[in-house]
Amino acid sequence: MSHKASLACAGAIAAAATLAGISPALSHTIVGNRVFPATLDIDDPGVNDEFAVPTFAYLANPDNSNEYDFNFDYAKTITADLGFSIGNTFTHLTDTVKPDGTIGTLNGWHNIETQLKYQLYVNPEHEFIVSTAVSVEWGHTGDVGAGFADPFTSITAKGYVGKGFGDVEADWAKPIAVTGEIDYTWSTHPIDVTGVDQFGNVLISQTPTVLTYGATLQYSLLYMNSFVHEVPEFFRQLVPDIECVFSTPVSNIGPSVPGSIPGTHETTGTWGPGLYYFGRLGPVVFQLGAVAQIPINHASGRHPGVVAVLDFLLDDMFPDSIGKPLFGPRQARGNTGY
Amino acid sequence: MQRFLKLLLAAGLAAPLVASPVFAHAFLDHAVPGVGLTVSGPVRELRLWYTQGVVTAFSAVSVASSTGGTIPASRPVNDPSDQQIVIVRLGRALGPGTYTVTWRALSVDTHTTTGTFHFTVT
Repeated sequence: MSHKASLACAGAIAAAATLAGISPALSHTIVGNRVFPATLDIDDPGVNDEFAVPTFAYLANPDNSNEYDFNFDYAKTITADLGFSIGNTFTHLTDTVKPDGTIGTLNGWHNIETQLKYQLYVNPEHEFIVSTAVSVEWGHTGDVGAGFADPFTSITAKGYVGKGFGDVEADWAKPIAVTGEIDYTWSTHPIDVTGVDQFGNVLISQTPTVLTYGATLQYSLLYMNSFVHEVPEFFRQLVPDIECVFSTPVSNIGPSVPGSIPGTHETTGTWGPGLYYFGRLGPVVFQLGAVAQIPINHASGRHPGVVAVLDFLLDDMFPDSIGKPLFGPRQARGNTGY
Repeated sequence: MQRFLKLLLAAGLAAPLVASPVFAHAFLDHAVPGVGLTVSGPVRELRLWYTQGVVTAFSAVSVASSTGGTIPASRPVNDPSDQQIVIVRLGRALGPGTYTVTWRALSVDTHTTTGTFHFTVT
């Protein structure tokens, strides 16, 4: 592979590492007495009817550019356990290297992403849920020329788990919940021939398969207020947590390129504290949330960023129309007796 | 970035001014006697505030002492002015001790939730 090809490869990896981050197909989930908020670093483990407009993210990229993302996402239940979502992200980049080599501003849409998600196992008594999903990022549906979207389609297989600890004896532990997500992303065009250099070497671009994994540790004041100890009114609508998400290229990586950021084999990721607030304003039921994005290394960012969301909970606002599944009964989300 | 953080802070400060308890299913918002709290006796009645209207005909509330004995109580009824409030009148005044309340609530949108909490009477 030529040096130019290697650099192209490194660029593709960097793009893949960024774009393979877990996208916010948002939906809060209720399992028994546990409310899992629609977290931002990873998705929550259930399906629901929600509309996020928008999810905002600020990231200080390692190449000295500043990235502002605006994600729009609509999630719809098909049955009580099967959900569909569609979303897209608009990015505003400042202080970035433009295609003509100058430093400036770039704007553009990413590819459209769709997802089908299924709840495999739900145990309300033990506040435990396992789900799986397949998402597709559709090639050539975004601004390919500006570099925000790939000209090819990528597919991601996902697994989710969530567990609330309301079933333990210790009162202090009952508000605790954990969620996790693991994704495996591969491209439909893992190797692209991009041209031939002046020496006749074939230039190629490799798109690696990427493993993305993350978790949240939540301490629900909602739960504490209802089942352990009353808390002041404002605080009983809060769920603070700590979140993390990481991406690691696992195959079709190509050779290392000295000096490239991120390195071809490098794991990138962020972690940080988050806070979610559930509220109602007249008939509008919503979730406000924000989580810090503290980079784990220089390849993941220059300094901390932030992601925030305003999420409309359609199942609570329109339980008899657009907030219920297309087919079959609504979710039996609560316990069924004692 | 600073502008965004200011907006986020403003939204956070404004949130409690405009929002009331949430969720279109009946979670316990607060109670009298309060969840996990210590109150002065005697206690003759329980009041439970839910986040959604409750159908009391298909709901239940029971109170047990620390020895496990069930305290006689009325069927739960709604506060006439608010379907989100459930009232249970106790068959006798509760003296000093710790009590366990176990509840099941059918919300007006047909979701059932259950829960347990303790309170202490001094």
